[in-house]
Amino acid sequence: MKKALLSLAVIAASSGYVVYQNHAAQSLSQDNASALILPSDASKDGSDLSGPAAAAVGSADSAPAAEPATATPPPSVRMGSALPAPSPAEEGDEARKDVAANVFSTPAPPPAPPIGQAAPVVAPASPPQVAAAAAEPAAPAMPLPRPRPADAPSIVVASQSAQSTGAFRDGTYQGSSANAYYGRVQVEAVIQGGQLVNVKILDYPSDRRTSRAINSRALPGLEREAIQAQSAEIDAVSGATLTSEAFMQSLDSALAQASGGASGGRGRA
Amino acid sequence: MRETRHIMGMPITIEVVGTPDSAPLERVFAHFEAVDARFSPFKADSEVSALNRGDVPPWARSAELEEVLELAEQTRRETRGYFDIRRPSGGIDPSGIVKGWAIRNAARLLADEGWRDYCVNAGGDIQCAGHNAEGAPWRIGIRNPFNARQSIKTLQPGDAGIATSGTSIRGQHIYDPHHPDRRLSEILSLTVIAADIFDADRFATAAFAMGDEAISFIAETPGLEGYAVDRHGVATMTTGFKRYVAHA
Repeated sequence: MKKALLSLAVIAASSGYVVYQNHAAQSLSQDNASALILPSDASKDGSDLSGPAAAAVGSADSAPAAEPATATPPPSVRMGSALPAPSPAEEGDEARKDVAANVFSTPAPPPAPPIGQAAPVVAPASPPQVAAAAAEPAAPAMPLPRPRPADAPSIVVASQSAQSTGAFRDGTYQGSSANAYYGRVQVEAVIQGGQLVNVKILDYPSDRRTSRAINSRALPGLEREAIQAQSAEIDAVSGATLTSEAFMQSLDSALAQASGGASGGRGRA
Repeated sequence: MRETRHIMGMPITIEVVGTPDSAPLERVFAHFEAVDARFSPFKADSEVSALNRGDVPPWARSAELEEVLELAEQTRRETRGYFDIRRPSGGIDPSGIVKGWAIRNAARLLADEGWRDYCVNAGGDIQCAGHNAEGAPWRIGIRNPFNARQSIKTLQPGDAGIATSGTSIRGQHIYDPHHPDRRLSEILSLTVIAADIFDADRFATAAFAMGDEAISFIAETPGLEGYAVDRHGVATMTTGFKRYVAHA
């Protein structure tokens, strides 16, 4: 498998990065779950939002964004809302799922795998703001990426244990190579100051060929719509989440080494 | 009777309606295990790994491997090279064609045994037949690429196959630092419905790499309907896709 060095680590000089928005509205438990928050490339995405997309998602100002609008670096570690609890059996227990009415109010990180989890991620938002989002289930707006903080770390992961006990040891840790079916995913986690500051993807399924430049055509008959969450009961779900599970597996194994929990860690300060 | 197992690196759910007997499920799971044992490039003792080492001369290839290689080549031609199991570094990785092929064979296995109501779901690529345990048409959701716990469409594909190709990490701009201007995915999710899961899966896989052009490719390929979701949450669908949408 071709090893492409893909780096999620983006600093101010780089071309772009993306944010996960984690909303307390979705947190139902304090189960440990890991996820990533990356600062977003607001300038790129914000300006693209026009036409049907803007009409469909409504006013950007009313977006129930978890993050504050001002461009400040994410706080070092904030204890706040836990993440949506991962459902390890989600793929299997698809029957009779009732889904939330709002498609964008609770965007979730990739579902975490059913193995030892890193502790909850904290959305860099004030809890009252997130609580307000929880109280407005009807707002259909997509949380917009916020302006890129000047010197924000590329990833902020807060864990209860790391904050209170500094359980992550500084260093660089390679996660296990996880099976994503179409290939393997392997990440490298960098811990500085007891926190995860960078995740580099060392290996990634390469069957997804990079898009080639071809003439853009608008075929007649193609119809567009804003996606909407459905509340119907369903028997099964078609979707691609495989590689994200592998990503989280690999990241979790790297973090486990950083916590000193796994043998064979290749941490180096 | 329904059960989920992890095989081929993904969750595989088999449901057979009308029997408390787990034997048909066991046979289907055994089928997927056998496929994995033969075709996994991640298993050193698979036929594919042996092939990639140069240890399998053409006359010694199994009939199943020959079939898969031929189907892969056919798909490569039909997708103008967007689907290609040959790896740049040499050897092959047939995962993209084996998955749909294996699901189709699993469904055939059940049909040949006389089962009329069943559903085979391998990692989100689905082939059902007949009706669910309530006697109603199978209802399949399309996962929301922005929120894995929601679905954004409710479909009743009937006996058609449905496959969804998607980006692994929601909303992220993953890029290759050697080609930073080339984003790896313009669309987050592409769902394809075809007469059977083999076609749905191989074309969903191939088309996904086409980015903005993916849904056009699906539209112009006979026998396929599609639903693509972009990173703004806007979906584009082919003209015939709506007939699969469930109404209340």
